[in-house]
Parts: sequence; structure tokens; C-alpha cells
Amino acid sequence: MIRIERLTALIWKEWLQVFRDPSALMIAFLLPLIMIFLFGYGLSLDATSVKLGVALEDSSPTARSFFNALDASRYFSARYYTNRADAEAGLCDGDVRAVLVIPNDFSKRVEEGTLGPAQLLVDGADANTALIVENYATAAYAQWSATRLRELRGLDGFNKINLETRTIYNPEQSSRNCLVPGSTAIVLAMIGTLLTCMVVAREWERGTMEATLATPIGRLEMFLGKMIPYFLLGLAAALENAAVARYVLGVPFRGSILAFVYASGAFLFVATAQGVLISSVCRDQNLASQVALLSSFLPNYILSGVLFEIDAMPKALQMITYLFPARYYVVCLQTIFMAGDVWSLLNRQIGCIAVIGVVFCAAAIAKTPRRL
Amino acid sequence: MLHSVRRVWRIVWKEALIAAGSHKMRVVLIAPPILQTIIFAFALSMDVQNVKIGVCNRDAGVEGAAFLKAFFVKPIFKEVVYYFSDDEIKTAIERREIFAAAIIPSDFSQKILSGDEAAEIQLLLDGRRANAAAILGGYVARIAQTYGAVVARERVDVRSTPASVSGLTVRRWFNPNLLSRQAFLPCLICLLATTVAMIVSALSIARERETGTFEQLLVAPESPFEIVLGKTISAVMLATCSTLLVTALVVWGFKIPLQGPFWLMFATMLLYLISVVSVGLMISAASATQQQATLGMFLFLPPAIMLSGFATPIENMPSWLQCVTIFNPVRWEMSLMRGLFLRDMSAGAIVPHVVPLVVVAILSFSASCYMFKRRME
Repeated sequence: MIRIERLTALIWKEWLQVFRDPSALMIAFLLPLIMIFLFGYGLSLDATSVKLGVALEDSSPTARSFFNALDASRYFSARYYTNRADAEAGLCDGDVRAVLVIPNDFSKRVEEGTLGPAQLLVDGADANTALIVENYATAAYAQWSATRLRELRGLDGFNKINLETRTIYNPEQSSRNCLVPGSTAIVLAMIGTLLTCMVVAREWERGTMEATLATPIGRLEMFLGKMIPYFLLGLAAALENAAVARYVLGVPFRGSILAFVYASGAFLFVATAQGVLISSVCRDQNLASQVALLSSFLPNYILSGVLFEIDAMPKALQMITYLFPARYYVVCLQTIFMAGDVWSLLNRQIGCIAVIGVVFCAAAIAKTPRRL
Repeated sequence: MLHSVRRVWRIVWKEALIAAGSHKMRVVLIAPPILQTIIFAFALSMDVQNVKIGVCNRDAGVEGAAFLKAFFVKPIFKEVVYYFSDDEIKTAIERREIFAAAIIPSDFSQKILSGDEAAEIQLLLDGRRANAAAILGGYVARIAQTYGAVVARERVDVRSTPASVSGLTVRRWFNPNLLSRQAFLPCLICLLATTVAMIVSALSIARERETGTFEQLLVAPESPFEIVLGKTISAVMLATCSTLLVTALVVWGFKIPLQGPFWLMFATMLLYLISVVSVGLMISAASATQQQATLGMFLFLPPAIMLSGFATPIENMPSWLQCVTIFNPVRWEMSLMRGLFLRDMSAGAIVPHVVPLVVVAILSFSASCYMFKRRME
């Protein structure tokens, strides 16, 4: 069914086309580079300098000591307001993410032990940041009041339970260590689909499809001839990504290259097959590139579990994410980068990717044209 | 003048026919935005819920069991798996069977009852999901703190312990329950508007060149300015329709109220679509083939979305990258949508957001006119 010489000729032709139009090479090597640097430097969930508005109405030493404790933490960069109303307006306009109001009876309230001596207003319009600010500020207050009690009365706080938290694989809880490996999935989904989405449609649009169909090339050969060159290009991009992540961005890589190539190959198999399928169905480059953009970037950005928590999604939606190979690939990547080769986990994930890949391939081969 | 308007209108009509004339094209313009709104609306949450947690309770007394009872708060935790050794727990975390594990040491009850020193609990988190680990760690710390305070209150006279049980009063404005959907849906409108505006404009000139209709434009009476203007108007109209559809779905379907005035939201949205469409046409005018234009689209859209403050705040970026985001129209519109939908931001705060949009629109529109003209000569 497959004649090797016919297949190599097709691959060679596609290869030449890639090298003679620099845009394909740019998609394969420049796009991943830009994306991984953006993921490495641009996306960070570790709040470092949240803009905090402070309305300091009490100037007693107690209030100052609390405020200094909060200001010393690297999480906030403070902005001062003379009164509460201005600070609240700043919150409305989005100038600050949260406002800390230290009322003029703050020290009195602290001495008496009244509930809530100070108020923290957070901007719920960004729910994730709001939650993080809330956690930081409450913890800072608890710590400050415990220290103060110890100094004043020699009481060792009233915390009866000490929680010792240890984050394995990623002790500093750096979000970059998770986002950068995860980004490889989004990048490969994009370039795998993007590289191949045009290849069949282009032949239709330029009229060369008719010439190709007049040759003895079979469906499978045509499909493989379109897919293999871009698959190899995508694999090179994946390795480039891993090298940048490891050596430039300093993300740990604890697994083996073998496991990485194995998982990436499985994933690219799906992505390129998806691209060829889009191309064969659309037969129009404009439409194909629209479908590729719509189906590759946002769905993988949002549903792959890199940024948003799949466990927190409703059941029905979790079911949908099972259909996205990126979901399994992200697990593989995060494990290979941070934990090492956990084969029992990797094999299961890669198996799932392969099943989806076979379905896509079958569909793509069925849709590969054999007649005009 | 009137003739010019008529000529521009002809281009608008021609473009609209190309972009929405065929059945497949119409499907691409309408179905994905609606489907994506519905699906993403449920997906956009960074909160941690339904966690499967492992427990190793070495404490033989009642206090350990009592703590665990207070510990399992729904919907944070979904399922508990009991283990007997640290190794079992480590393997389970490694294989992602559980996300976190709590280990209660054997002297837990004794320490709680004697009251001399604080009892310890160990929490292991899977660092492969750093944000989830940080959030879950925060939750568990709060649970432990509250429980510790309750235990302390039972045994010690509260009035002699000022400030120990009082914390900060936290008020959440604009979104009292910190619902992710409420926070993210206005941003989602902006994301989908960007995508649609890009796909209706980025290939429109490159396609003419590749399919050979560019020559026909050369002999048409329209000037380059009129052609680019016509293409812009047509793309903005299509994108506006699609965006209004999504906005209606968000406001009526998902019941996210618009706090600011509608006309202001609409006006800024229109201005934003004009600037994105101009960027798209500039990409199109600069590329020779549709593949190059597609590359340009992919080089603009994902980075612009990632640097918009949609998923992660701009303040977390290094300062040089924050400067880059000043030129990113998505950033300003994202912030406007958040402000207008949830906070009713004041007019004074809107102006600094609108200026960059106008600048981007003017610059890229003139650039596309210039490049288009050069291609024609």
C-alpha cells in the first residue's frame, strides 16, 4: 500500500517547500521561542508587588508597627491615601488591588481585643489576586499580633496548631516551574496545527492538487507525506523549547530526554493529524487558518490545566477536557520536568493521547482527497 | 465626497460578502464565539476544589480524629484516602493519585491536651501545580488556625487574650463571593472580540494577492485609502455583531450585570475593535501569502492575550515587560471591560485607557494604508 520511494519523494517535496518559504520555519522556531519567553517572564501567578492602597488614619506607634510589618513583606507595594474615600475611589478605578484601612481607633481596638481592628477591602474583579491578597494580609496580621503578644506579655501566641507545609518537587512554589513546562503543550498544539493546516488547502487553492491526484499516490501516502515533515519540525521545536526552559529559564528537568521525546511525539502526532484534517475539510487557506487559530490557542490555553484548575470545573466540562490531548500532555510535561520519569503515570497519559491520535488520523485519512 | 462614500460602501459590501457569504464562513464567525463563551465560562477558575487528599493519622487519641473531622471542608476536598506510611504517600503523590497529604504525628493528642506547646501537623503538596498548591496551602493554614483558636478558647479564658482571636475584617468589593465566573466573563468578551476581529481582518489583503484579485483592485476606481477604509469598516461591523452576541449571552445568559453605562461599554468596544482590525490589516498588508499572514496573526494574538492581564496580573511581570504591554491594545480593553462591568469605573479613569487604543488604531491604520499603497505601485 505504501511505496517507500513515493513517500520519500513526497516528503522531500514538502521539505523543499518549507525551506523555500521562510514563514514555515519561523512558525517552527521563532514562535515557540517567543511563546516560551512570554510564559517564562510574562505569566506569573506569584504576586510580588500587589498595589495596596493604605489609608492610615491612626498614627500611633501600634498602627505604625503593624503597617511596617505589612510593608516589609515583598508582596505589597504601598500607595498612600490621606483618607478613606480617596482610597476607595482608587479601588473603583482599578488604581490599587486592595485597600487597607487603619482607622483612628486602631490601637484602642487592638488593646481591647475588639474584632476587626483594621479593614481590608479587596477588588473582587480579579478573584484570584483578591484571594491571594486576602491570604497574605490575614497571615501578616496574625503573625504581627502573635509577635506583639509575645513581646508584650510573654505569651506564646494562642495558636495551638503549627502547620508545617512542604511542597515537593517545587519547594518555593514557583509558578514559573509549572507554567514553562506546561507552555510546551500550548506551543506544540499551535505550531503542529498551524504548520499543517495550510498544506492541503494550499494545493487546492493553487490548483496543484489536480496534478498530485493524477499521480499513483494513495491516500495513506498523501496523508503521511503531508504529516511527517511537519511532525519532525514540531519535534525539533519541542526540543528547542525544552533546552530554553532548562538552560535559559532555569526550570529543573529531572526526567529523561527519552521520556520527553516519547510524550512530545505522541502529542505532535495528534496535533499534526488535526491540522491535516482541518486542511482537507476546509479546502480554503483563509478558512483553514481561522479554524486552526480558533481550535488551537484558546481551547488549549484554557482547558489544558496549565492555568486553570480542571478539578474545579463542573463534571460535564471535565468530561470535555478528556477529549483534549493537551490535558494528558501537560501532566506528562510537568512530571518529566519536575518529578522525573514516573513511567506508570506517563504510560497511562501517553496511551490516552495515542487513542485520540488514532481517531484523528482515521478521520484525516478518510478526508484526504483521492479525486477532484 | 459623496462619490467617495459610495466607493467605500462598495468595498464594505464586497468584503462582507466574502467574509460572511459562504456557509462555512458564517459558521466560523458565529459558532465558535458562542460555544467558547459557554464552555470557558465554566472553565475559568483558578480556585482549588474537589481535591483528593491523603491522610496518615499516627495519633491514637481522639484529638487527631477530631481535627480531621473539622479539616474536611467541602467543596475544597472531595475524597480522602488513608495511608500508613510516608513512602505510600510519596508514591501516591508522584503518580498523581492524590494532590496533597496531611500527616498527623503520634503526639498530636498529647500536645493538644497538655497545652504546653503547639501540636504539629505536616502538609505535603504536589508542587507540579504551584498555584493550586499555594491556594490549598492557604486554605489549610486557615483551617488549622481556626481550629487552633477554637481549641485555645475552650481551654483558656478568652478575655485575657486580646487580639489573639480578632483578625482583619476583610470586605470583598464588586464580587463578594470571589466568583471566578463573574471576574472572568467580562474579560472573556474581550478575548473573543479580539479573536474574531483578528480572523476577519488578518488575511483579507494577503488573500487578494494570492488568489490574484489584487490586480482587479489595481484597476478599480477606489483609492488605496478607500479600499483599506472599506475593509476596516466591514471587518469592524462583523466583529461588532459577533461581540454583541457574546455580550448578550454574558449579560442575559450568565446574568453578569453591567455596572457601567451600556453606551460607554459599546463605544470603547467599538474603538477597541477598530484598533485590533487595523492591526490585522497591517499584518495582512505586510505579508505576501496567506501563510505569512497566518504567521503574523499567531505572532500577534497569543502574546497580546498573554500580556493583557487576563490570566495573570500585569504587576507580576518584570518592569521591562510591563513597558511593552503599554502598546498592547488587549491590555487596555481587558481593564476597561473589568472596570465597566464590575466596578463602574469613573470617566476620569477611562481616559488613560482610551488614549493607547486611539494611538494604536491611528498608527496601524496609516501603516496599512502606506503598505497597501506601496504594494499597488
